[in-house]
Amino acid sequence: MDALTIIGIAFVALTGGIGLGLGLRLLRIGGRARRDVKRSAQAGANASTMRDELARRRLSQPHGSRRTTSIHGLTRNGLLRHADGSYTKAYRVKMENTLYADDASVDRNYNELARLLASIRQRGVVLQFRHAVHPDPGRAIKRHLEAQSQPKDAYMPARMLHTMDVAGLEAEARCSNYQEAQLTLWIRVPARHANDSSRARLGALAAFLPALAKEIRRQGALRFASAVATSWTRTNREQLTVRALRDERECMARASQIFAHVEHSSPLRLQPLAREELWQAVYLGHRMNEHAAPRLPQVEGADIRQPLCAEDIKGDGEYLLHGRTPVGIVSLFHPPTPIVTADMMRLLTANPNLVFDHTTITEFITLDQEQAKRELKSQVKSLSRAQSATSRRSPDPDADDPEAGVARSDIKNLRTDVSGGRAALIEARCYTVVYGQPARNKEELRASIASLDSYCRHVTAAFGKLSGADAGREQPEALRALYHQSLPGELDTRRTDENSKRRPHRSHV
Amino acid sequence: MQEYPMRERIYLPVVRFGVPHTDWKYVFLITMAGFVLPFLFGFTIFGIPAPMFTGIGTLGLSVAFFNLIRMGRRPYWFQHKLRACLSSHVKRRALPQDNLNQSWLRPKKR
Repeated sequence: MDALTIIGIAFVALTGGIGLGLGLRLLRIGGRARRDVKRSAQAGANASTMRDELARRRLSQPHGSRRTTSIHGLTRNGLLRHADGSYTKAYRVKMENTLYADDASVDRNYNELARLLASIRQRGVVLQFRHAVHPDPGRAIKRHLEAQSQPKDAYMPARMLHTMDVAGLEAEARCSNYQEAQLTLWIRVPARHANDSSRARLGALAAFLPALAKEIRRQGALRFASAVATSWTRTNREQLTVRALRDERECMARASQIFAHVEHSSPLRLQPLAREELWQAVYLGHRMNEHAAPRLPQVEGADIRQPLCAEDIKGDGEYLLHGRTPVGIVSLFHPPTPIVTADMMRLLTANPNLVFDHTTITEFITLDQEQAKRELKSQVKSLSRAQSATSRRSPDPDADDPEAGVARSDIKNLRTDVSGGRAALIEARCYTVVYGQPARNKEELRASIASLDSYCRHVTAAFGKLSGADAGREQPEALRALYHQSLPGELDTRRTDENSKRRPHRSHV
Repeated sequence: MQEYPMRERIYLPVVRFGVPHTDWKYVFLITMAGFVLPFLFGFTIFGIPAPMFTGIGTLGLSVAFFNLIRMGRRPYWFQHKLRACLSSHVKRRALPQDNLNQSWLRPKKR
C-alpha cells in the first residue's frame, strides 16, 4: 500500500467521520427543535391550520358513501317519477270521526279493502298506509275556536262553562297529552316500456365501463378506486330510466289506470295530494332538519335528487341520526295469530301512551298469483317429504310434528280458496318508525336517545298486546338496511320484496 | 268484530339438521365444490386424495355455517350483517360535484 492510498483512505475516513458527526448533531438539533415547536403556542395554530385544511378537504370529499334515493322527479300531474321508471301517487285518507262506529260497517270496510287488494292483477304494486302521529300542542283547540259561532250569540253560563272546558283542554295540550294523526296512502306502480333500456346484468356492465372511463378522466388515474365506486353507484345502484316524452305518456297512462281503479274501488275516502303538497311531504320526510320545502322546479323532467339527498343519515348503533333527529324502527316480526280482527290496529293508532312522533307503516305488495300458487305447491311437497321422513323414523303417528300437520292443513284450505277464486295471496308488512327529539349538541342527543329508547319500548308494548304477535326493535344492521325505504315516497318493490321475505307475513285476502 | 284466520305457518321453512329446506341447495353446491375442485387440481394429503377430506369437511362446515346464521337470530340476520359490513355507516349528503341533474325525459331529436 503506497502513501497516496493511505492518505486517500484517511481523508475519506476523516470526511465521513465529520459528516456522520454533523448529521447526528443536526438530527439531535432537529428533534429538539420539533419538540420546542410542538410545545410553543405556534404549534396550536399549526394544528388548527391542519384541522382546517382537513375540514376544507372534507367539504369536497366528505366521509361516507353518497346518500341515494329512488325518486327522480315529480310530474306535472302530481305523481312521483322513480329512477326505475315507476310512478307513485299519494292520497290523504279521511279517517272516521269516531271509534264507536258500528262493527258491521268497520268489517264491511275491511272486506272491501281486501277485495280491492285481491283485484289488483299487476305484480309488484305496493300500497303503503302511513299513519303519522305527532303531539298536538293545541291545534285542534284552535280549529275548534275558529269554527265556533259568535260567542255573543251563545247563552252566557254556557259560554263560561265552555271557556273553562277549553282552558282545561289547553292545559292538557301544553303537557303534550294529545296526539294528532294523519293517514296517507302511497301507491307505487311499476311501469316498463318496450323502448326502456335493459336491466340485465350485461346491460349494466355495458353502462358501467363508459362511466368508469369518464370518472377516470375526471378524477385521474391515481384515484382509480374512487372512480370505480362512483361509477358503480351511478350505473348500478341508481340505474336511471330515461324515456322519450311519448313513451313516458304511455307508461303514465297505464299506471294511472291502476290509480283510478284504487280510487274507484276503495271503501276509504281518498283525496289525492296536489303536486305542491306531495313535494312538501316528500321533501320534509327526506330532510328532517328543514321546516319548509323550497319552490319546486316547474320544468317537466327536472331531477330532484339533489335537494332530497342534501342531508346526512349516519349511525351504526341502535338508532340512526337523520339530520339532527335520532330514529329507530320497531317491526312486527310475526303477525297476530291465530285470528285477526278489523279493529286490532287500534291498539297502536288510538293509544294514549303513544303521544310522540312516530309513523306506523303497513305495506301490501301484490304478487304474481300463478307463481304464488306454485310456491304453495312446492311448500306442500317439502312438508310431505319431511313428514314421510319422520314417519319412517318412527311408525308412531303421535310422533308427527304438530307444526307441520297444522301447516299442511292450512295450505290445503288455502289452496282450495285460491283455486276457487275466493282468496288471493299478497305480501304484507307492518312496522313503526319512531323519532326522538332533534338534538344540536351531545347533551341534547343523550337525552333524545334516552327518550327514543323509552318510546320504542312503548311501541313494542303496544304491538305486544296483539294476541300472538311478536314485535321488537330492529337491530343496528337491520335498521341501516330498512330505514331508507321507510321514508315517504321510497316504497320500493324490489327492496320491499326482499325484506318482506324475511318475515312470513304472506297472507291471504 | 268478525274474526279472520291468520295462516301464518304456511311459509314456515322445513328444517333438517338445523338447515331450512331453502338453504340445502347452497349446502349441496358448496359440498360439490369442496369435492370437485381438489379432485380437478389433484391435491393430496400425505398421499391420500384430498377430496376424501374436503368433501366431508365442506359439508360439515356449510351445515354448521347455516346453523350459525339461523339459530337464535332474527330472519335475514346474516344478509343485513354482511350489508352493514360492506357499506359505510355514513350516508353523506349529495354535493354539487355528484352531478345529480339528469332529466328523466329524453330530449327530442332534431
